[in-house]
Amino acid sequence: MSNNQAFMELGWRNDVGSLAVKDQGMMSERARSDEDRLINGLKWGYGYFDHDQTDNYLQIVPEIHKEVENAKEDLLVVVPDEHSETDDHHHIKDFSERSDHRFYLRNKHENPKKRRIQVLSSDDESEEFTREVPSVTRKGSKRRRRDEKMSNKMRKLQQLVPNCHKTDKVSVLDKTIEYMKNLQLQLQMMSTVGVNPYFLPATLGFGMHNHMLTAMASAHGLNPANHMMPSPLIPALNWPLPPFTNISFPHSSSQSLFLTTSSPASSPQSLHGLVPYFPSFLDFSSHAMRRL
Amino acid sequence: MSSRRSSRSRQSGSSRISDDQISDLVSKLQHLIPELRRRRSDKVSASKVLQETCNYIRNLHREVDDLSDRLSELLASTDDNSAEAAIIRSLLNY
Repeated sequence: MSNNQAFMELGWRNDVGSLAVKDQGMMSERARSDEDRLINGLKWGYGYFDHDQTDNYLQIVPEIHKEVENAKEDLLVVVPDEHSETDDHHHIKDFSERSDHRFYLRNKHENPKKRRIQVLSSDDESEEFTREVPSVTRKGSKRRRRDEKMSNKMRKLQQLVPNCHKTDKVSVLDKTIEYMKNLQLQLQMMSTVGVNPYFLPATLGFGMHNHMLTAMASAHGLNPANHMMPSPLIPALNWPLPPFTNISFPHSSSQSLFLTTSSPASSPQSLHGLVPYFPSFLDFSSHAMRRL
Repeated sequence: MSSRRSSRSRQSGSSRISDDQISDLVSKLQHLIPELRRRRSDKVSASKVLQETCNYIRNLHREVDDLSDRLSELLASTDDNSAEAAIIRSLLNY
């Protein structure tokens, strides 16, 4: 990793950090550039860089992510105990100004490997791991965990919603919304007819059918008085029904029939279209409003 | 929040648009769920909305099944040629 990249990352990290964090960042930048020169000279770039970066990161993180409990535990383990948090970089700087190679040697044998492993093992999504990840992962780990939770739920939704073939979030959500609206509408229809079957003849003035259906309903234990309540699942605010645009419900000749309700319905076809326009729906609606 | 935005838009230019789209859709979804609509709208997290949506859809399925049973009972005892029977059939075939 080049020095420039390291700087960029520090800058990015400081966006969210407090002023204190920024100051630390500045310090470590200076320390890093000194160290970097040395490291490059010694050809030990890789190990040291990761090591140093890890330290920097660990110093900054606790101030930003106090709420990440899981990460905290790791952090406590990983923070080097020889140096106090703020003094660490002074040390580095002082040593490097004297260009004391022993510092690095000592540091190398302190067990940088162990620290590196700890950082890696605390990162459970290692498939995306690259060399610069340790500094970024912690910051993003909370977000990633949340994102993963989200996409799990997205997958569940996708299973629940039929004909949902695309996997991107927008189309899954789109399909879900559409499907839910249709389901709610379907339930409204079904509960209106199934729960209160005699409303059709009553409204249309089918005296004979009315008697017949009422008798039938009571025979089936469908006491209208008890079953009038709408399902709590159906939102009451949807009640003034929208026209049936996206439902395969035939409503070809409904208009004409609706205007001449006194004439007996001749074909079942035309009755389909009539259902949503029934006056009893509006009564139902106010009833539902009161209950919810 | 702003840093999250910037880090995302760095990854891909269009992700910000779809982020907005997603939050839009999630709030639409939230308004379709009676349980969540009663709450203060801005306090519900997206994952909560999705969770509730799953539950809600399952409930709707159950309800539809129940009503289908009831309607087919009704249909069995209805005159096959009557208008009611036709309506019930159309509801069952949805």
